[in-house]
Amino acid sequence: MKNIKQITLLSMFTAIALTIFVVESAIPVPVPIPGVKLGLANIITLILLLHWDFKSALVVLLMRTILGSIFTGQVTVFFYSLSGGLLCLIVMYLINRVLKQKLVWFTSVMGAIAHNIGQILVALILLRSTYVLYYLPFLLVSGIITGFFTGLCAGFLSNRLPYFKKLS
Amino acid sequence: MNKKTKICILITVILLLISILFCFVIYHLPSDAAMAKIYQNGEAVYSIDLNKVEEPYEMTFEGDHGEINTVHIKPGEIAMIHANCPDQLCVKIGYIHNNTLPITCLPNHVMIHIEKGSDEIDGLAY
Repeated sequence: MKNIKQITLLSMFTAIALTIFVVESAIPVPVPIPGVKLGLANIITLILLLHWDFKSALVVLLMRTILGSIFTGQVTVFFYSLSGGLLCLIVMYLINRVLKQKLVWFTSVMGAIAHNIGQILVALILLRSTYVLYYLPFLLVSGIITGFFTGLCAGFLSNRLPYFKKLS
Repeated sequence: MNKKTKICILITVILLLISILFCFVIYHLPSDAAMAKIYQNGEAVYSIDLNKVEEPYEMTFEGDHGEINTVHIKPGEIAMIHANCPDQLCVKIGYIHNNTLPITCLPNHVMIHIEKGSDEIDGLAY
């Protein structure tokens, strides 16, 4: 990552992901289940996984999570975001390799499911109670639906990034 | 549409249906539990027998780092009516009456859950 072009691109993608993350946190969620959200910032992670590598997606994800929790002022949500995000990234990376960069929506759905499981795991540790497991099916329903649409978004977007494709 | 796509669609639909089924089961599960327990940082600080509540009342409690939560207790039901957390999800979920979904206030580390009645008194009991 010594290349200035790469550093610039990574910081640009971090800025885009962060903007999406902050704007999304301002959208009120109609469902009273903690952890339900659109997950639009995942589009950037998916794009990076498709066109670049695991490392760059990881860097952008970590920067977005750390800065995002500072900017939105929800520092306690940081651990939920981080564990969910990391698990999501690992699962998406593996499925993306198995599917050979195709069927982006399925990669995204599986990533969303992994994200929800990561969140519940942290909730189990932080709240020291198994009752949070009752939230999992509700989170999974929303995760599968939103994951499908963010996956479609990422799929359409990645077809229209010829310049970025050449660079990497 | 090739075979791989079909398999992926099938897996997604099956997972979605299973999740919906579980949601339905959890939401409609009947319950004879009536002991509302309020947890702060994983420790039960209050337990209230909802069957013995006659007059609705409010109760406010504070955490170690300035967290303020107010609950409203009615016969058989309990709700969070005020919390100084940023997302207000605990307030939006409204009244709970069975022992499945708890009221969880993640930012304030507060959880309210209805459990099977026991005479064990952790804090205040009415």
